[in-house]
Amino acid sequence: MPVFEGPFALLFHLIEQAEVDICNIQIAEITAQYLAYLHELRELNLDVAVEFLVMAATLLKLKSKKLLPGMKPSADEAEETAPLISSEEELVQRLLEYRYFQTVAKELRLCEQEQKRVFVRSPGGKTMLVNPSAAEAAGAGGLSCLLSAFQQLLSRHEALPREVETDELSVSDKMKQVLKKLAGHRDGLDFRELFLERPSVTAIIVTFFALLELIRRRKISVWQDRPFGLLICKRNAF
Amino acid sequence: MDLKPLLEAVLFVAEEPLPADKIAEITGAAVRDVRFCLEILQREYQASDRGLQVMNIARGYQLATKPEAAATVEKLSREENRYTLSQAALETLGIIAWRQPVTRVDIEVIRGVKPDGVLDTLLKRRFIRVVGRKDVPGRPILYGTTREFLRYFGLKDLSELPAPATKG
Repeated sequence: MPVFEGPFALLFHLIEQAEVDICNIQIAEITAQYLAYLHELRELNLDVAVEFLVMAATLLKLKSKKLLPGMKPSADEAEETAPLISSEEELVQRLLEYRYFQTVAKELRLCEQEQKRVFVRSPGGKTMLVNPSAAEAAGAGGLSCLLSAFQQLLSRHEALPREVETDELSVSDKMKQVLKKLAGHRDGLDFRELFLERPSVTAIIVTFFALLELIRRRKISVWQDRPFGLLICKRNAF
Repeated sequence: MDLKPLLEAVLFVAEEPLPADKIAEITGAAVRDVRFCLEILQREYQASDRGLQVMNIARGYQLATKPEAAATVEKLSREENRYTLSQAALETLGIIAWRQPVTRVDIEVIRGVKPDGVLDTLLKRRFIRVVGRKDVPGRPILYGTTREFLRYFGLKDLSELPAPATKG
């Protein structure tokens, strides 16, 4: 027994089986076939999703309207919201629209398949978090990942014995240091490696600012191979 | 070095589609000259006996292999390339791309099923993003497509969306 993703998919299947044009569907016939399918599902002890039931009710309503043309819409019908279908024309309209987007999906599938035959350097296997030239990729998610990594570092630091902080370090000095360090790691470096040697809180913050500034100036990229994976920092090529 | 070979070098190193103005910024050349040279480069690659092409993709330019090389190049690629989107995801993306900005309900009306799970997947894969809120009661979220959507489907921009013959 075929499985349908939604009521429109099922209706389409029935219409195609009957070999009628969408604009000429017989509401009584299609309703009977639709209900028969739902009945079969029930016999097989399968749950029927609520969308299918709503459509069944809609079809029955349209059918009864046809039988009793003078029937006035009841009070609660007047309160119906847009997604509910209130006339046969509307049903046809919605089916046509649904069919339109089926063809759209087919076109997109072709594009997808075509594009799968084309390869670029370092394809999008990694999830780019903060990448200078992909503004959209660096959405809110990107920054929040960096921040949570920063929080982790700070909290780890708090567990360590405290020291007197003497060294004064400027962000620009740190930027140079980070770039120098990353230059030796062409495949990228674990974010945490930048915070070795038990840095002071000031040093952690300065390093973090330096990282943000380098990202802003498009000198480095930061990404994760998978969600919650290691943060990797890498120097950009230009 | 002349601009054309320089552009070729830049495209070789770039890991994603580069917009012309970005390339102009890097090379210091005028955007117009960059476009002009890129077009020549594009034609040269297309016409000659090369395995690469310069693609117009996601509002930028990118050096990529020619599709004819796919069967061989594929052997080097990772498994994720074989991953394809589900039918539901494609239909939903189609609705968002053509009708954007759209709300959850707009999608539900057309597809007849709740799109929540699919929307989450599409958001996670960065094919769509929240572009604002509709100015109606409840202020529902509006969705639109991203550059990553264009890149994945090999489209230059939204005007390149394929137009099916039948209209809804």
